[in-house]
Order: sequence, then C-alpha cells, then structure tokens
Amino acid sequence: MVVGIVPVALDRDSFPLSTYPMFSSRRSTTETVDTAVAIFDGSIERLTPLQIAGTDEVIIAARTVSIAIESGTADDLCREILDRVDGADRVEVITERFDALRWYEGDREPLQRTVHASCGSDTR
Amino acid sequence: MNTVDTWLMRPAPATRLATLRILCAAYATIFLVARLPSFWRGTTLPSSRLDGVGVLWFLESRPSPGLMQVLIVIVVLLGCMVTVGLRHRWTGPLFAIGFLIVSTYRLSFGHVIHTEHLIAIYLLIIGFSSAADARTIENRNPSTGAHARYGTPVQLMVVVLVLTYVLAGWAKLRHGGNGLVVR
Repeated sequence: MVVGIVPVALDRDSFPLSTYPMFSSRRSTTETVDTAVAIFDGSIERLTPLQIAGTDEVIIAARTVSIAIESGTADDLCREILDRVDGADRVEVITERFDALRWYEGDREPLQRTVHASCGSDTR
Repeated sequence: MNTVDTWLMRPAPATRLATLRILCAAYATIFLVARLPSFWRGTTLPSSRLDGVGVLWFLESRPSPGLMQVLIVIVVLLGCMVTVGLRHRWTGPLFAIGFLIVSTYRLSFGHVIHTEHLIAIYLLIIGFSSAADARTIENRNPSTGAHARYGTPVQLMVVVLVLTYVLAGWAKLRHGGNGLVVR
C-alpha cells in the first residue's frame, strides 16, 4: 500500500517510490532538446553524453543541460564541457527544436537553435 | 481471516521464494556489473549537480568517490552471496539496502530513470524474508513444507508489480488524457 499511496500523496517522482510520469504527456510533432555542441574549424560536431555531462546516460546528460539553462549556470557547464573536448574551437550550450517526423526521414536540421552559452578560444 | 488476509498469507514452498531470490539477486548483480561504468562515473560527478532523491534526499555535497566506489564493489559481492544463498540473514538485508543506496545515488544527479524501481523494492522484500531456506549452497536442512512465511513475500511482490503498472497507467491518463494511445 505504501508503494501505491505515498507517491500519489506526495505527487513526486522519486526512487524507489515513483508516480511513473515518464512517457505520459502528450507529444507534438516538434521536439525541443537541450544539448551542447562543439565547433571545429567552423563545423558543428555533436557531443556524447560523456562529454556533455560526464555520464553515459543520455537522459541524465540532457537533464544536466536543461538544469544548467534553467538555473543560469550554462556558462559554467560550457567551460566544463570545453575541458572535456580536445581541440574544440568553441563549445555552445544550446536548445534546438526539431520536426520529429522530418528528423526520422533524415532531415536533421533544427527548426530553431537558441544559444545559451558559448565558450572557447575564439570567444575569449 | 478475511479474503485479503487469506490471499496475502497464502502458504508456498520455500523453493518458490528461493527461486525468486536467485532470479532477482542475479539480475540485480548482473545489472550492477553491466552498468558499472555508469555507477562508477557517477561517483565523480560534481557536487554542484547533486540533487538527492529517495533515501539520500538529505545529501547536499558529494561523498568521497573512493567511499562510493568501495560501496559499489561490496554491493556486487553481496549480490553474489545472496544469489547463492550465503548467510542470507545478513547478506539479504545488506544487499537490499546497499543496492538501494548505490542506485539512489546514481539517480541523484537531476533525473530519475525508472529502470531500478521494481528490482529495488523486490530486493527489500526478499532481503528481509526467509528467502534462503532452500536452493542455497549452505545446504542446511532445506525446508520442504509450504508456509505463509514463504508465500507472503511472493504475494507482496505481486501487489507491488500490479501497483506499479496501475500508477503508470494512471499517470498516462492524468497527463495525456483519456484519448491517449499507449506508445
């Protein structure tokens, strides 16, 4: 009973008691993603969760970026990532909005890109 | 005894609970080993990202990485001992609590993933029950009769499983509405 009642009463996702909110919200065909990219000689390179947040968990890495943006510490995270990416001219902490259907058809260009923080040799 | 009590206190053979012990402990131990890089790296993530959840809600700064790494190794060893039914009276609760702590710590960095919830609760039920009265390498006069002390933990696991899916279904209806197609 505790397993069922406590999470509902508190309305909080935790561990090991949870309200299991994942995948439960309605989705539109556009998806917003908080992430970080590196720029090498003018070309953008996608980074791994390990480079972004020091973890191999994709969702935790994405959430790390979101929290940094929400809390106004995107600059700190940007420098942290720059230290983990060898040879990058610049790192950007960004929010991108994609058309999910077009993305799966191969069109990986974002509909919109917002840069929250930029750091690196060409911004110093 | 009412119907609920009769259902919950249903007798079962010791081998049934022991089999569940082996399956759950082996799964959790293999999971820990397979995800060891993730658990290991989690110990070195910066304190600034720490956001304690569950039993570690009070954490405000990161414990020593060495301490957490030693704990992870101990929990893996305990998992092996529980799987083979060695000193279950001690290893059962310690493994359940240890798994809960290392899993909670890994999920205390901003986002809760839902892969370990059920197994963590199962291990707590198994760890604090007589789950090593059969199928153990200690080979102490294995219990053969059916008893509620072997059946009740199994029934509790069933209740936990059903409640989990009820909550997940309720969340989908609550956040997505009645017309939501399950994806």
